[in-house]
Amino acid sequence: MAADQNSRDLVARYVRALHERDLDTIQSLQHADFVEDYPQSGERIRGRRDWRAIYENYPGGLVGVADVSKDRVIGGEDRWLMGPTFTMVRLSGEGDMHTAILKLRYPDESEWYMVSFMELRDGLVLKATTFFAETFEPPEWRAQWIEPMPDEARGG
Amino acid sequence: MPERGGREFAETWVEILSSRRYDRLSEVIHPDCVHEYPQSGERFVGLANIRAIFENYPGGVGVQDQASLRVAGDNERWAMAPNFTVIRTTGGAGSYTSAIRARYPDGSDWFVLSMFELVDGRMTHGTLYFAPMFEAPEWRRPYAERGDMT
Repeated sequence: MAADQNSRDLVARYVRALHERDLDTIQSLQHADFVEDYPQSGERIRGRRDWRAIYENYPGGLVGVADVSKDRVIGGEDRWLMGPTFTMVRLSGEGDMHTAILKLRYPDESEWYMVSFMELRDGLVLKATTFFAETFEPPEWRAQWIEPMPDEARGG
Repeated sequence: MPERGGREFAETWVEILSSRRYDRLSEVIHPDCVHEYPQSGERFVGLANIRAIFENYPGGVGVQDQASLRVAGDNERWAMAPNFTVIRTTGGAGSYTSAIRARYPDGSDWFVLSMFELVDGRMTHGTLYFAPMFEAPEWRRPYAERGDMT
């Protein structure tokens, strides 16, 4: 459906702008009533201005947040490949509800997955509910029951 | 196997985990199901291996807070709490995303985020992320409201 394609394009543009730290573009894609929640810390960021302030005041800056060495989008028919320097593990969704998974690399070299549930309205991003999950070493106790995931399935 | 939507599936799944009735896992897990944990790069292939993880989890797996369960998929949209966004995943019928808050034996609280696919009411593939609670940093205080979002 064209509407689904439009919504996917919107999410893709939003995530790409996030990756490129293009705050103007991000704000242009956020609804006037935009809200982002971080349920892990119980924080709610209400409005585009406060959202932008957080990014502009991020301690140490946001340089290095994204791993630009990988270009990875996996999945089925409605998951798609981005440009050659994009860090995305997965985008999925249809209608006005979407999920974006990115892999982030912080300046301290730690790697995290960002899982963001995005709700659209009026062709804009109305709400994001975002979680952060750090990578970890596989525990020894369960080694006998697992096999390693290929790097590409982990977003590189 | 009767048709089972994402919500019903997830409730049964949580019930089995909470009651530690791992002998019932076959009700919700396909024999060839694959679980992936991208954070650690672990892949569990088949019901027997998935069950072994649950049965051998040191201290037992966490206790899921069923009231916090959110599932989206098919024509269901669950917004049991106004602050929580739930998502329908794509890929055709049977794709879901869920989020649930779980408490582990050490008392820590986590969100478990699952992207999963159902065939005939059973999970055939699941990608799981584990996200712990954290303290809101002071520097963000001027820009963020605070509260419980579960």
